[in-house]
Amino acid sequence: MSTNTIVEQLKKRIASFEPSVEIEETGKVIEVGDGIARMSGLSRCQAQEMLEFSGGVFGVALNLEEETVGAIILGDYTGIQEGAVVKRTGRVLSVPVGYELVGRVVDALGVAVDGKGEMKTKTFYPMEKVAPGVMARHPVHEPVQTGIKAIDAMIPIGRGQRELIIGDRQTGKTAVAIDTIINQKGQNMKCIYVAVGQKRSKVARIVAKLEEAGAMEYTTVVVAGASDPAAMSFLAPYAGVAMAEFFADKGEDVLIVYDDLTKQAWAYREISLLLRRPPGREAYPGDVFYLHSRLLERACKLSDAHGGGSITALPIIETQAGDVTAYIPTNVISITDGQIFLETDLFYRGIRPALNVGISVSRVGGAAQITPMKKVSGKLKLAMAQFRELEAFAQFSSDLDPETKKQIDRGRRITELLNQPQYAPMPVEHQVAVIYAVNNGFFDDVAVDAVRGSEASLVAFLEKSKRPLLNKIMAGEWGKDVEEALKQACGEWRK
Amino acid sequence: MRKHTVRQYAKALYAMTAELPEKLVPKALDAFVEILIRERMLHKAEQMLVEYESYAEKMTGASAIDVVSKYALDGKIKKIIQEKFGKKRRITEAIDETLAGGCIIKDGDIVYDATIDTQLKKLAYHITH
Repeated sequence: MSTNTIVEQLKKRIASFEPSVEIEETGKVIEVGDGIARMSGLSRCQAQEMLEFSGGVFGVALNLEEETVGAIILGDYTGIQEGAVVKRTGRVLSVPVGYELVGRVVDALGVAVDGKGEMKTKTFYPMEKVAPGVMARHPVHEPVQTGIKAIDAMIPIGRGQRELIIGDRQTGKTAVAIDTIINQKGQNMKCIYVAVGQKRSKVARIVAKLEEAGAMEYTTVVVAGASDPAAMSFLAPYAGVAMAEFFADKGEDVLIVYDDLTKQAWAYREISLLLRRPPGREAYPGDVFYLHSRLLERACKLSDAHGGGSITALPIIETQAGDVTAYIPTNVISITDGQIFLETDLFYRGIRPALNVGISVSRVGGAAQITPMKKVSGKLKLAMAQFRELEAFAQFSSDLDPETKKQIDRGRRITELLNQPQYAPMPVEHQVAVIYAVNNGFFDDVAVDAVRGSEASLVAFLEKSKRPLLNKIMAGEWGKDVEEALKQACGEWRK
Repeated sequence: MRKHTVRQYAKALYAMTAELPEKLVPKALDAFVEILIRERMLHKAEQMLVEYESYAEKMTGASAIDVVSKYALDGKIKKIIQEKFGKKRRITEAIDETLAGGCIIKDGDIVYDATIDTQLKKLAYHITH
């Protein structure tokens, strides 16, 4: 390009510039501390509007009072002084979104914290957004394969569903979520893991595990650590769902894990008390239900007219001493489409994942299962419930009829089969095969403590010599011929 | 019961006295002082007067406009500013020699930035984007 051309282009650009007066609305800080600030002025400030403090620090206006505005500060508030000028930005809080975030670890404002350099994102999505309306949605009908036998068989999750994972500390809640993310490899699913109030060491371990399993190729991690301000913990889930909405709007399926919403509620309580909002039950503000409902309502299956994408949410709630009747747990249970209860007793009895299948439920149910899984696991939940009753009864009785004894033995083997090590999600076709085998007596003569070894042996045998059959099962085919072929395969394996 | 702020008392004082006949003003002020004593807000009376003055100026269109510029404003520019913002408005001037030119006008919470520095930044952005 010649010098003349460059000069001409520059002249054109300068000529096209229209100078105009910059108009800003400002206020003054009258009180600042503990991550919140109170300002005078800003009479036209809007709710949830971003404000700019001195030093390039941003905040979000939450309290619009008669003469003051209360805001949370998104950054270091120690440099802000009383009397400092605050400007309105005219924008609501938004976060960078896009494919550039896949494989990255970011904070609640979308800034990279993994040391892999800046992301050049072009698109921003608002953190707060009205959830899709009724007509924009489609019923949930596609499965999310978690790779965990007990869940895929008896508490199936569908794309667009909200399934709560609830339990005491150290019961395997995060393990269930991480295994689900790992199992999404090759499933055409983007994943977002939102870590709220977690120790950074735990998040680092999780990221390392996801990298090892190759899951970071399709996962974004949003971190608001335990040492971050409460404002970040409050905003992180909304940042995560905004990132998910970008992919869902493009017709893709997204899985988002909120780990955990209890800590988000604590952070929101802290902010609300500092802003002097009236405390309600357990000192939570009156709109703590709305905090979670507006977040979780954004997870849905969109209709074909809206791209057909979906956001599946796995919120995690930590209970204290197994109390699911507490305030926040009951709130979130009433919002979600089902819950997975993890119990400490079961965990220490060696049942891992420590699912209480009796009280866990998926309100989507069979609509989120492929046909083979629906057929083989249809009666599994009922059989397990009957087994638990009989097992309790058998403790007090020495003589059992053969039928009862058989049911108890079968139940023990199913229980052992449903145990699964961490970071070892199982493909759905293998799950169908092993559940079919145990339901049809192929494990009846195997000792309970040898069931897992036999399971591995069956899977290896089918992989080696019955791959086409497994492919049919994976494709959702089921009929007399497939069932017969599977029965024959199991028979061959037993020999 | 929630306490009222100094500004709210100032606004109430203005609302009470704005259209009151002059001979009734002393009686109204006595009543106001009694309320302050009852609410234990008398020690904030001085702050209330400052707020009252500021609020009264705003309501009567006589509040001050702060102008920051590189050079002192001449009569012509002052006249233009008063025509735009109101003839009753007082102009308080400040000089900032670090500016390249133009001025910043502050009217209450609204800031009008007409400096050359800002225009140059906008021009740079316009050329490069």
